[in-house]
Order: sequence, then C-alpha cells, then structure tokens
Amino acid sequence: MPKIKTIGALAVIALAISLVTAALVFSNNSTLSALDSRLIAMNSTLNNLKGELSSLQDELNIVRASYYPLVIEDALGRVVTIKSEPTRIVSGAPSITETLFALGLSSRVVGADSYSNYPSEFLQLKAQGKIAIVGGVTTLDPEKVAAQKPDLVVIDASLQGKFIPALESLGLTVVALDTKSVESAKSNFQLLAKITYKLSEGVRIVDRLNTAIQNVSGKVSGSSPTKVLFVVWHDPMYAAGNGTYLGELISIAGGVNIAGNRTGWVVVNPEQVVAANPDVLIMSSMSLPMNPEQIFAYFRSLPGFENVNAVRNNRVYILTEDASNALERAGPRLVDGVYILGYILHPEAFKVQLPNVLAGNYTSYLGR
Amino acid sequence: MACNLVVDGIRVEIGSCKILDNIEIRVGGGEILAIIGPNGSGKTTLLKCISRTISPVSGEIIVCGRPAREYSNREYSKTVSAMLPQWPSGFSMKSYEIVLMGCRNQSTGVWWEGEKELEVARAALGVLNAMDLYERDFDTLSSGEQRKVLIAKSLAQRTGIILLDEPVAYLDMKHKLEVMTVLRALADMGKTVLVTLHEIDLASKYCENVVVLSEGKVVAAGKPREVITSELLSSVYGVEAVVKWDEEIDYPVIVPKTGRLQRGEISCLM
Amino acid sequence: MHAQPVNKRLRLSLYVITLSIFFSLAFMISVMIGTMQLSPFEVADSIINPNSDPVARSIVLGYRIPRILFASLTGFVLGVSGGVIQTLTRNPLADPYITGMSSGAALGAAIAFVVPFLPYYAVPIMAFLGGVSMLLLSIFLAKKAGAGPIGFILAGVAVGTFASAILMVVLALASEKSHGILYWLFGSFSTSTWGDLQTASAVSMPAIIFALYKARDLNILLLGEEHAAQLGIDSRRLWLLMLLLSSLAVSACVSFCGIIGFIGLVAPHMVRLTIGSDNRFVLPLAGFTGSLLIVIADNIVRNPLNPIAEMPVGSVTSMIGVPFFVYLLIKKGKSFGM
Repeated sequence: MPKIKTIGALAVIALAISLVTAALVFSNNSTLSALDSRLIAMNSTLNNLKGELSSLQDELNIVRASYYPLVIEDALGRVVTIKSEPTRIVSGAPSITETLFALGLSSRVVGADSYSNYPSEFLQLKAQGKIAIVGGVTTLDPEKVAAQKPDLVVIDASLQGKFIPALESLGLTVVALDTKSVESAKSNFQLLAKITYKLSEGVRIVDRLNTAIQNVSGKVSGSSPTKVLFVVWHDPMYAAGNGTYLGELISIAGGVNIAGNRTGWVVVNPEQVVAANPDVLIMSSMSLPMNPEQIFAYFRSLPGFENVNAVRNNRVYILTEDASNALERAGPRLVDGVYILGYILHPEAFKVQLPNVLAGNYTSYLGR
Repeated sequence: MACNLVVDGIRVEIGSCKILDNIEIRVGGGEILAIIGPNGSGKTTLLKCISRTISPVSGEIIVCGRPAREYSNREYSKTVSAMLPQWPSGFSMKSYEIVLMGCRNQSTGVWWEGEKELEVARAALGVLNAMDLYERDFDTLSSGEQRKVLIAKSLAQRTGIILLDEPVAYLDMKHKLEVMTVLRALADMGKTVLVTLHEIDLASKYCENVVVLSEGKVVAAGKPREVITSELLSSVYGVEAVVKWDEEIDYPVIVPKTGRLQRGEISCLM
Repeated sequence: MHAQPVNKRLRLSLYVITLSIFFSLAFMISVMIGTMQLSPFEVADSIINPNSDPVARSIVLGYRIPRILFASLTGFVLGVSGGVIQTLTRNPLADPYITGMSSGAALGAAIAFVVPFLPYYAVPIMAFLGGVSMLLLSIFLAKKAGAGPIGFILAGVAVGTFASAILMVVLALASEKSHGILYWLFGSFSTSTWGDLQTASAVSMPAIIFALYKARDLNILLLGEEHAAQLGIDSRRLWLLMLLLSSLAVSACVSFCGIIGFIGLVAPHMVRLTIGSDNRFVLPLAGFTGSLLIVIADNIVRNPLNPIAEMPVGSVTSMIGVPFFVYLLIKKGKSFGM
C-alpha cells in the first residue's frame, strides 16, 4: 500500500509540475508578446525622438550659427559686436580670468594680467606658456595683447579703460567690465557667459552666488548688526565706503560699515575709528605690507584703540592671499567671500570661529 | 689806528690765466693810494686779494705787520674794510640795514644793533650826505645812490684800512667830489685808503700816490704829478692826450685827441 | 626824522604776539572740530579730568593735540628753514627741499613701504636716512664742483631728479602698495603721535633755535659769502652749518608726515613782502606763518563736512596759500626785487 501512496504522491507532484509548467509557458508567451509590442512601440518612439533630435540639432545649429554676430553693451555703454564665438581670449584682471575659468573656458584664455593666479589650472597653463602675461592691473601692453591674436579682450573699465583706443586701433574686440555692486558682479558673469555662449554655466555661477547670499543673510538676520571697518591699507586706513560692492557685502553679511557715510574708497582717520568704535576691524591685502603680528601691533599702538571693541575683543582680522582675493576680486569666489564675511561678523550664527589671520588655507575653515 | 698795508710780490692766476704778476705796493696811514689802469688790468683782483676774497698763488699781504692770512675773519674785519662791486641781490633791504651790516664786526649784540651802531650807521650815511637814502629800499636806488650806501657800509666798519673799488663810478660830478673829499678827510685822520679809479684827474688831485696797473703788472708808481704823463696815457691806455698841470688850481687837465673811427664794421650797424 | 631801528624790537614783539593770538585761536578751534565735535568745555574736561569720557579723551589727547602740535612744528620748521635756505642760496625760488632731500626722503619711505615685513616705524627712519643721504650727496657734489650757491642748487636738482627717477621705478613696482606711498608723498598728519612729536622736535628745535639765534649773521650772508667774511662772519662754516641744520630739521619733520610742499617756499616770502628781508623778522614770523597755514589747512583736511575727507594737506596749504601769496605779489611785488 505504501507504494500506491508513493505513486499517488509522485503523480500529484508530476501533475503539479506539469500544471505549473503549463501555466508558466502560457504566461511567458503572453509577457513575450507584451514585451514585443512595447519594444516595437519604443523603437518607433526612439525613431521619432531621433528624428526630433536631429531636427533639434539642426535647429540648434541654425540658432548657434545665427547666435553670432552678437551685439552687446559693456560697462562703459559701448556697443560691441562679437563676430563669432570667441576662441582666443585675453583677460585684463584677475576677476575676469577667474570668471572665464569658472565658465569652463580655460583652453580659450591666451593672455592675462600679471596678477591673475587662480585657479591652479591657470598657473599650470601659464607655466606651460599657453597663457601670456600682457600687463599689470593698471598697465596693459596693447602690443603684447595684439601679439596673442585674440578675438576677445576683456578689461577692467576703471583701471584699464584708457587703453581702449589703443586696443581698438589694433583692430581688437574689447569689452570693458566694471564692478560697483554685487548686482554688477552678477551681470558681469552673465555678460561673459553670453558673449562666450556658456549660458547655463553663467546661470550656475550666478545661482551659486545668490544661494550663498540668501544663506548668509538668512543666518544673520536674527543677530544684531556688527559695526565693522574694512580696510585695504593701514596708514592711512583706506576703507571700503558706501557704493562699493564690498560695502554691499558687509550689509549682506549683517554688518554696519562705519565708513559707510562716505562714497567709494575713502581714507579714514583713526580718530573716526575711535569715535565710531567698530566691533570688527578687517584688513585685507593680497600681499601684506608687514607681517600680521606687526599689523596687529600697529592697530594696538594707535591712541584710544585699546577702547575700540574690535581691538579689545580680539576681533581684528587680517585677510591675505586667497582669502583676500575671494573678497577683493569680484569673481566667482565672491561666494567664499560672502561666507568669510558672514563668519567673521557673526560667528554665533554660524557656530564657526575663524582665526584672526586667514590666508590661502581659508577653504578648510569654510566647511562646505 | 694807523696801519700800514704792504703787498709783497703777489701773483694771482685764475686757471692758466695770469691776472696779477709780482705786485708790490706799500701804503701807510694818512695816505690815499689810487690804483689806475685800463679795464681788465687787474685792479679789482688786487683789491679782492687784499680783502682776502681770493688768495694769491704766491706773495704775501702784510697788514699792520702781520700776514693777512693769519687773521681770523673777525680780526680782519676790524682792520680792513672793502667795498667791492658785488650786489646784494634777490631780496629787498633798506639802505640802513645794509649800512648796519658794516657795524657787525664790532657789534656786541648778537641779535639787535646797539645804539652806538645806529649812531655809526647814521654818521656814515650823513658824512656822505646820503641821509635821505636811510629808509629807502636799496633796490629802488640809482646805481650812484647804491654806490654811496655801499661806501657808507664800508665806512661803518671803522677800520684802519679802507679798500674801495671804483667808489665814484656812476656818481655825478658833485657826488664824485663829495666822496673823494670824505676819503681825503678819513686819510687825514690817519686811515689808510686804497682806491681804484678810472678818474685820473681825481686820482691826481686827492691821492698821495698812484700805482698804474697794466696787464697785471705795475708799470708805474709814484706821485701823480710824476706818473701821469701823456706818454703813460699813450702806452697804457692807448690814448693820445695832452696832459697839462694847472699850477694855479693844482689840478691836471687832460685833453684827449679824438680821432675818426676807421673800422669798416660800423656800417653793419646801420 | 628817521624811524629808529630800535623800534624793530617793539614791532617784532607786536607781530609775534598777533600771530601767536591767531595761532592759539586756530589751535583751539582745531582741537574742537573733527569727526566728533567737542565743546571747549569737553576739551578742557578731557585734558584735565582723567576720568572723563575715554573716547573723547583719547581723541583729544591721543589724536588732535599731537596732530595739531606736529602740524605746527612742521609748519614752523618749514617756514624758518625756507627762510634760511633762501638766504643761503640768495635765491628767492629756493625751498628747504632744494638739496634733493625731499626726493631722498620719498625714496627712502617708498623703499620702506615696498620691502616686505618691515615694522611700521621703518618708514620715518628710512625717509630720514634717504633725505639725509641725498643732502650729504648734494653737498659733496657741490663742494666738488665748487661753484658756490648756484653749484649747490644744480647739485641738489641733479641729486633730487635722480632720486625721483628711482622713486618712479619703485612706484611702478610697488603695485598695490603704491597708494600707501602716494599718500605719504602727499603729506598727512593723520597718524602723528606724541612719540613722533618728541623725536621730530628733539632733532629740529635745536637747529631752528640756532637758526633764529644767528638771524643777524644770516642777514649778512645775504650779501654773499665773501662779503660776509669781510664783515667778520665765519661765513663758510656758518653757511654749511646752517644748511645742514635746517635741512636736518626739515628732514626730521617730513620723515614722519610726508612731503608738505609750498610752505617752505612761500611763508618766508609772505613775511618779506609785508615786512622786509631782515631775517630777524623773516625767520620767526615765517615760522609762525607756516604753522598757522598748516594748521588751518589741516583743519580743512580733518573737517567732517569736507566731502573728500583726508585729502593731501600739502595741496590744501597750496590752495589757501597761493591766492594770498599772489595777492601780496601783485600788491607789493614791485618792491620785491625779483
């Protein structure tokens, strides 16, 4: 009897297996047909898309071909025609160089001023001789510029505007940029992006700056404003006043500029500093006139400065090298500059305490 | 007060140019010695040498028995005064301020002039009949008036020896005589006076002795009456003239013979 | 009949008293005005009372008084030295900078700015060394050339031009430090301290007092070195000594505050045009005039109503001094003998 049971069980298993197999075969068949039909549908969609893509590409090529000549207006109100997509660009200022590199145009920069030193790729290209040095900040050698055979020369309007006639007489296309406010820094990015057909990169740079500004101003909005003086020289104290983009950044970062009652870059009398009693004193210089200890000692030596909050509370900050460049060059690194200012003026809001001397290593403190 | 001045064989060279050569002069107290000679003969250089403005290459100047170079500036300024043709220039000064500078050598005050000095300054201008110039700006004076002020400055030094370089140049006849009379009176008081003059007649009239310089050398010396002759005028000045001594007024009369200009270049000036 | 020159003492006293009153007024007003306006009472309180408002106290005692005193010292020294140098060179166009000293000081200061990591007091030290070395160089060259005052002026011009040429090179290389140098060149009292005042006056006051003491002999130097020697002056030594001392005095001030032009040229002339060339008047009164001019100019510089705050004090002295000078020149220039 057990045999019969076994056979019965086997029969049941065999039946079950055959049933399952039958079911599987049946269902496989139906999936297959469904997949088939989908494949066919997708193929046709793909073909449609391919057609669309190629027509879009054609359209794009037509647009791109007609993008140039591009007519723009520069900071001096000059109407400049960019004849074709620039491939050989000369930059007259570090901020311009940094913007061009951030736009991904490193291979197209063929000349720059002697102060440009960022990013490291720039230094490599310079060392390899792929980027020629064509002048300083206020000096530009038009012949050296012309020797690079550039199809675009971007210069600083206020410092190098005087070279425009000479450059134009050499048949060069010159665009002058000026930075009087944060807004103008942004429009400089956009203008360079527009000229070089790097529109989305331009949008990205501006967005990053906007985000930084929103972040910092949002964080500090709860704190009471910090009185600050931002100088680039110690004697006389040469300070950013009202109407400078640095003055604007100070208020974005929750500061009150004690030199803000006057416009432009102004000389501040130490007596004024004693009277205004700033909470923070920032000295920023690409290369310092003295070593940081000597600068701190100098500020401490000024009569009455022992009663100035910034000195009393050890809130005198020295920014140099890249830390200074991040603020003083209106390039894409303004993003860092905004954070540096925010951290210095409101350490309580960010829970970050920056050291009193900030140099090339500043990014390690930003922690972003 | 009387002082002898001895110039002992001095030689002056400027560059390679010999200005004075072996000059021997001797003047005593109470005496006026006139140095005459044509332009460029070395008269002014001689006075500059004696006043120590320039130093001779060789030879010695002996003042009151002592070599001049041994004196200090202050000692010398109390012994020898010199009126040399050098204008105080550039800044306006009152006449009396210039005269008062002459008193500096004997002044005891460092800052202010004493009453005595003011008296001397007034006397110096007064004796030259020039008190009206006292408060005038030196620069606004005529050349003759300026000359008088500079003479007064020399007199204000109150020295035993007085050197004057052309004291009567630019002066009119009356003032020439006035100045010479004053010098005569000073000499008569015992001072030693040495003047350079272009006015040969005045030299003859007022001076005991005359030295004639020509091309840096003494060509004649002695009493005017003996020295000033038509031969001398001819050989030294190259001027043909008649020299007559008027015995009645004791004064030389010099009448040059004028000739006609022979040079053709003058036509270019038409 | 004639004015007694003894009255000169009285006249000089009167002038000195008048100018002192003007100067005191200017001084008091200067202490009161600035970024923070202070009443006379607040000023007095912050000077006398050690427990008064520390801000006002450090502004009055730490900034304004040393600043005004330094400005006055500089003006006085420039005025006196200007008079002395004009006398020595017998040239009405001479000023204390004629020795090439200012260019040397500027060069020294510029080098101190450019050489990295020098302490902040390196600038006056280098400026002083630069000024004095150019002064000595031009005296040495003038002695070599041996052409008297004119040779001296020409040597000064040569040395000064050479130093300026090097300065231009330094400026071109200085890049972002050039505004510090330029500002120093313009001259400013904005950071004058008591220490600066002590150092500068320790060097300059003895020289200035000596110059005033020798005013009568300097008059005689106006006649020329040779004439002065005949009048009993040890003229060669006095000439060199006065030149060295007055240049050192100016150097000491200018090394701290930068090149303040015009005062040294014009303050003595203002006095000469009004009173005459007697150095016993010219030197002290030019000193007071210089002080007064410079303090007034510095007030304009410091004035908070001034839209271009802290502009170069040297240009302000020129702006207020030149019109007055031109007026005097037109009115009295004929008797000036120029």
